[in-house]
Amino acid sequence: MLRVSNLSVDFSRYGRSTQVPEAICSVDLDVRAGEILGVVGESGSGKSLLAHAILGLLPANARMGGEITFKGQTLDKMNIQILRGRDIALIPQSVAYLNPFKTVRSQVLRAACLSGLPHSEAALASDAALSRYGLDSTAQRLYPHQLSGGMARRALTATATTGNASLLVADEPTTGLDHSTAGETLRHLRQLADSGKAVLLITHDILAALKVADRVAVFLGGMVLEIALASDFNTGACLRHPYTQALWQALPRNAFMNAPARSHTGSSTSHGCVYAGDCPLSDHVCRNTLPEWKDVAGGRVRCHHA
Amino acid sequence: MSGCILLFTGLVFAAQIMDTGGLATNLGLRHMPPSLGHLFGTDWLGRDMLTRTILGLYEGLKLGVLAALCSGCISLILGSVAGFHGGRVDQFISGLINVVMATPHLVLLILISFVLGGGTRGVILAVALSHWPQLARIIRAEVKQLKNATYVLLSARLGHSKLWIIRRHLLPHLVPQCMIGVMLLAPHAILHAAGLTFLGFGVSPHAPSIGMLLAESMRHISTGYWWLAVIPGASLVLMVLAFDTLGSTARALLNPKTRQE
Repeated sequence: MLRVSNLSVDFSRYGRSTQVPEAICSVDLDVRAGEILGVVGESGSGKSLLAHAILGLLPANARMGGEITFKGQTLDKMNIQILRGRDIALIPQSVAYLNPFKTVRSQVLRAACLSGLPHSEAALASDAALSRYGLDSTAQRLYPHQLSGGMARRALTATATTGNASLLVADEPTTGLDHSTAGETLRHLRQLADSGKAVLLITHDILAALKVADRVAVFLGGMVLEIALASDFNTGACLRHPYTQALWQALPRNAFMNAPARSHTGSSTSHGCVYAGDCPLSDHVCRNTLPEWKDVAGGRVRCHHA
Repeated sequence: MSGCILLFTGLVFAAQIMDTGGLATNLGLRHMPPSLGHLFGTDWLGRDMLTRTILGLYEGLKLGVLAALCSGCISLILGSVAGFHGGRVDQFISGLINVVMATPHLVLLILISFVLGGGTRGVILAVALSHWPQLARIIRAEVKQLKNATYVLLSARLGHSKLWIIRRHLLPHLVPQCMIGVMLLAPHAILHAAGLTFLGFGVSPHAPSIGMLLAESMRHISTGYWWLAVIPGASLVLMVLAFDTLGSTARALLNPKTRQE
């Protein structure tokens, strides 16, 4: 349903095209109908930027390379204007995306109307979405500043899921939520995927991603290092990339060992693998040449040693 | 709050139905102290001071509110243009704000009113042109902050025009701010209008005004006719205080954080 090929994003500073590190560098991934693709990675690795690139919400000084296609159609400025909110919906990361002048109910209702539903159905759909996320009629009349962090986040999720979008980009939908509400959000995403929609679940909570996702893409320093089946994380034996293995090791149920926490921004300043600095297998080839994609059982990996 | 509103309604109503016969010179009733017949006493020409005070306050109120409204408009336009546009325009308007704020505003008031030839227009413009910078500065800062709020940035990235963003996102935020600014400026403006007239740069001596009343009474204060200056002066202070209370209450009501208290 969604295919991202060779996507790169960088920023021009002070209006000049000075050489700055690419925030996202040759990212390839695809999301199929009926599946959840989890995107995991450390903070600042470019996950949210990927979401914004897909929805055409990059800042004015961002330059985007590569191609994003949705249902076979290239997403350019014109297309995305039509599809955004109607066919592609976003659960944004920050609750500051809510309009402070509108009540929760009116914002969800507006999202439902924008998604192309007729007004009578939109009211029903927005009520259903709000009550699914536990926002009762009192909470619906509140303004964003009167909501708690968790309520605001649930309002955002309700806004994004009220329409009939076939692709849902969920950017950290469970941050700040208690366990049961986070579980409900993830269960709902799974239901949406099971009903034939595609979900791109961006999170740094790898356990949450593993709970519901079909496949997991591992991000580091603006690059996707590996796309593996979520079931591959059960044992860890099927994971190919050393960074993914380190992440697996860091899970509480495994060795609970800290994954190397060096800052991995600035990938494009060196030409090699973004993980070369910390990788136990690293050699001069890793440091100097960017690894190509290798297809492996159930997924793809970008490592010279895989 | 309701007392203040009652006071202003009473004042406006009284000024409308007032029997202006009390303004006529009646030398037989000169220098009468406050009594039941003449609540505020009479002046050296036998005119009823109550009538003069009410008409003076009413005119002062009109002048003050008009001047504050003009000043609010100037602040809203210049402040939001500076904040939204940024760059050179912002630098220019900020410079202008600094220059006006750095000039003692009594000097500025007298100069502007003098250049415009005094009168009602002179007073209104003098107060408006010398009092816009404070509010303009607040609005400029507010716009700068709002412009970078996530939901406004998002709205720009969604492709909404600048005008749409100003209308839908900025104005709803700025208008209450501006209203409060105007309400808090109005009592200040009333005082300045009275002050200008007192100094002889304001409205014409024939028009009823508290400033003129006080200026005239000054000559008589040492002769024991205290009611000529004290009562109109105290009523002016009372009106300004009431207006200030109104402004502060409005501010508390318009702020969602303090509304429930």
